[in-house]
Amino acid sequence: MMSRNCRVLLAVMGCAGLAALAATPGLGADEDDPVDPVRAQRRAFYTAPPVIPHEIADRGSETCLGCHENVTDLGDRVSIQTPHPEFSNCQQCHVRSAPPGERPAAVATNWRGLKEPRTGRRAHPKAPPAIPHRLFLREKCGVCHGAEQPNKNMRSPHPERSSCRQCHLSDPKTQF
Amino acid sequence: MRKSLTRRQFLKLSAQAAALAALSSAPAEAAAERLGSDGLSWHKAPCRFCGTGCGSLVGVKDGRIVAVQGDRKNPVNKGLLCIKGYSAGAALYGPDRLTRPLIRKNDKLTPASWDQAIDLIADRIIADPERFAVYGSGQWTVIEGYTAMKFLKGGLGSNHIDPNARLCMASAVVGFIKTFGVDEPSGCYDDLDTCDTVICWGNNWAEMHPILFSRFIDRKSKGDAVTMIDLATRRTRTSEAADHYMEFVPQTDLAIANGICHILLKRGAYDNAFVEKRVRFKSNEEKDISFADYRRFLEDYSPEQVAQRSGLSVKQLEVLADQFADPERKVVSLWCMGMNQHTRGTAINNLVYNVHLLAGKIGKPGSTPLSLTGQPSACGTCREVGTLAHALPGGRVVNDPAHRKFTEDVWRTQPGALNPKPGFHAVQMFQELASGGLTGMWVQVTNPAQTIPNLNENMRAARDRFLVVSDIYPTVTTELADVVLPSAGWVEKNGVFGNTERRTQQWFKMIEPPGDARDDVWQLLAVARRLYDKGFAGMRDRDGGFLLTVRDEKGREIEAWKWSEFKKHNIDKILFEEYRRFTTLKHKDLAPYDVYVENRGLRWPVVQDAAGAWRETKRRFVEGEDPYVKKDDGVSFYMAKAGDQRAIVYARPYEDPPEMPDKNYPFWLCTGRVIEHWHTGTMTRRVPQLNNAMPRAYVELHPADAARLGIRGGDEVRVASRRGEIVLPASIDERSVPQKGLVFVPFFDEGRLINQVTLDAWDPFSKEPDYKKCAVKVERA
Repeated sequence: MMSRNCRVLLAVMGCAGLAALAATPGLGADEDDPVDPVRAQRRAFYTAPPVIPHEIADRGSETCLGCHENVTDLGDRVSIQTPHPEFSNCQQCHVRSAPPGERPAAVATNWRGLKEPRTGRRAHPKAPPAIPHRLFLREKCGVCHGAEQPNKNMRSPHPERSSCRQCHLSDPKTQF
Repeated sequence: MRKSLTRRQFLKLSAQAAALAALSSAPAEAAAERLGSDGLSWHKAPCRFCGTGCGSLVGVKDGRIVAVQGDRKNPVNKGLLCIKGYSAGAALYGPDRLTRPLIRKNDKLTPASWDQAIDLIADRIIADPERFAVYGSGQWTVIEGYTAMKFLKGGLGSNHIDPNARLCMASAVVGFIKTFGVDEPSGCYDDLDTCDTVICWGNNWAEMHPILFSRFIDRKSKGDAVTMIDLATRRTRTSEAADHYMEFVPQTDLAIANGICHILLKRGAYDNAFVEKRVRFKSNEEKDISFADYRRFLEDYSPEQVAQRSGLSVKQLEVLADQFADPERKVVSLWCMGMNQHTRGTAINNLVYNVHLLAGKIGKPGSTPLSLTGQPSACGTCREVGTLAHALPGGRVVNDPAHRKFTEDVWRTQPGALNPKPGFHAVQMFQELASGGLTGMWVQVTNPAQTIPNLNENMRAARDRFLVVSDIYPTVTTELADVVLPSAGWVEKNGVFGNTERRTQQWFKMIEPPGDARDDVWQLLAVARRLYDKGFAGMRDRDGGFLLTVRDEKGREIEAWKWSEFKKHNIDKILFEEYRRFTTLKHKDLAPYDVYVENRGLRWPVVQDAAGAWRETKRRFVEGEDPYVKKDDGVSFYMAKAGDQRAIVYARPYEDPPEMPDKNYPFWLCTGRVIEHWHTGTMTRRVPQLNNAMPRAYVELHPADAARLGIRGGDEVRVASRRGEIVLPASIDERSVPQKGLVFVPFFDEGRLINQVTLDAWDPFSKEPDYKKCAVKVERA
């Protein structure tokens, strides 16, 4: 398991085009101590759709689910499973991080997106945290919080339990 | 009327929306959806980009936007957004936002006070009011457009006002009026949920209306047996998802539509009962003709003849006809710029209605011709308010004395103040600016120095005229300006938009505009007041008061031309109630402002039922849905000019476009958009994710053409027409692939202005120019 997690991270870190993203303000570079720097780099704000960190067939979204319907071991990297395979026009929300072989000049911005919370709110210190994001598009908890998740801040400490919402309630602040 | 809040509810909401209340032009009960202890609150607003009209929830913290999500309560998008929608907040945070007025001095834009800028504009208008124009936008809010109309038509007695929407959907407007007697689609997005077939007439909705595209295409992944036919001149992401890709020679959409009708009549596979009851026939010259005459007209459009002209196969034409021939099949036709930016734009709009009318596929759930719009309020502002050179609010026209009288009475102008002669339409306006027929112009919410066709010719003298530009960022147009006014954008102000499916949506100001940027409505009111104070007669109402006076609920005058006073009130609400009086003539009734506060938009006509509730209309012209259709009338085109409830089928022939490829200029040039960028990219190119994904324009070539010319992907290529030329990198076999003999260039890139190359010929009815077809030569640079 560790080796796979390491591979994911290495694949992610080594990805061409990310260097440009990391240097872009508003994508996490000016955030102090984000929960997960890679996640922050790929998102304009917490809950924004991540950009695509690899080269893509720009023609459409027909092939995306080939790798992203499930976690797929691609040898040098492992794909991330989509939490919403029922939506088929992937590139309506997820755009590439650069055209093939290009490193676009950084765009200046004063945008400061919402930061990812470290945890959901708790009714008392021992209570299970409430879900800090809305569930729409993210109903499959295990996709992000399962044993495969390399970031321990996001990984459930008890991924073997599958009825997440028996303990973790929707936070009324985020459910609309 | 809206239900009133209890005092307790009101106080609770007030506390929750403390951040909003501090902005003062948004009433406290504007109601943040939720406000947590972390100070984050969420507020509804329609997206400010395309005409789909998705609902978004804007996350605000410490006076800044920090997130944008899709609004699940909004029936348009049901929680989804596209990447532009998610980026609508970030689009306001470019570091070079315009924050103070600029006045050109010694050929340099120099910071000035609002007072100086307003004074200068007023003096220049007074010097030559009849040759001063306003060029506006489908991104104007309803009240911005309404105020501009009152300012120019009421105050200056001039009709030289037109929007960029002239370049975008004017052909759809004229098409609707000629066929149905009244503008705007009768169907709605719900039809995409139940149709069996969607036909895209030159419409790449996967990129341009992605939320509607996925609303339909997700049905496929859920197992619905639906068919999509992409009729196009280039292969796009839409084609990739289509069941049939049908590639046609540019301009031959006219022949294809007639060809479908030919097949339907030959097979006898049309809705005879509907045609007898609800259709009449007219010639291209708009004289009454018989059904038999129309059949004879169609003789020239046999499948073989149409196949030869269009490049479609006979089989493909049969497939198209099959969709309409089956009485059980529900068919939606979609189009946008492909049919509208067309020198025969009105004709092709009419011809697509012909197909639906003959097949009886209109006014039934799942069957409708649905003309999409490109801008968020092209419908609400340009079409309904009527910010057009010939129009007055609510479907009225300047050359109708009764319409002028009604408008003069509502506005309380001096009798006869309105000018009966239509003003210059968009392209003409710039031609007149170039030749001196206009000496001044105020541009709001748009960027004509990038979008007007044949730029070299039409913008050549703009620098020498008096040009005022209101915008949020520097653009190629502000570079030409004498006065630049910094504007509030999107949720930095109150607003109302009207979308493609007749849905009117309202939002409240959520954050302050940066620096000294101010609302466009305020800018218009302030200049109008300065004109009044300087004694300009047109700005006096019939009692000698200020023409654009705004009054509170108790009838007291608000000094809205003072920014400090403007900010204390919801001027949008007050002016909306005034505008609403115009909306019943064409049965496009709007509800009171407060009703829109309470919901996620309503589709007009919105009429009060017996119990006093305001009811929207899903489908217009349909008994049981549209309150203006009488009992037992079924589907009734009750706005028909002849008063016979019939829509008109026109015998409109194919005609060649004004410029076609030849020996010297052997390629077609088509222009358009990409998913990442909005219009001229002034906002989206300042969003890192969007700019990284699509940093520059390109020219798409067919691989065979590229090979023949020795051009490889990424090579710099010169695209030249009789009017101008630009150099761009080649895109071969990437996102989209044009047909052989056609090249495509997107227009978002201000560094590569393709409109130096395009043709400024326009449709004779709609005056909309054709950005989709002209002749160019292409070579390695």
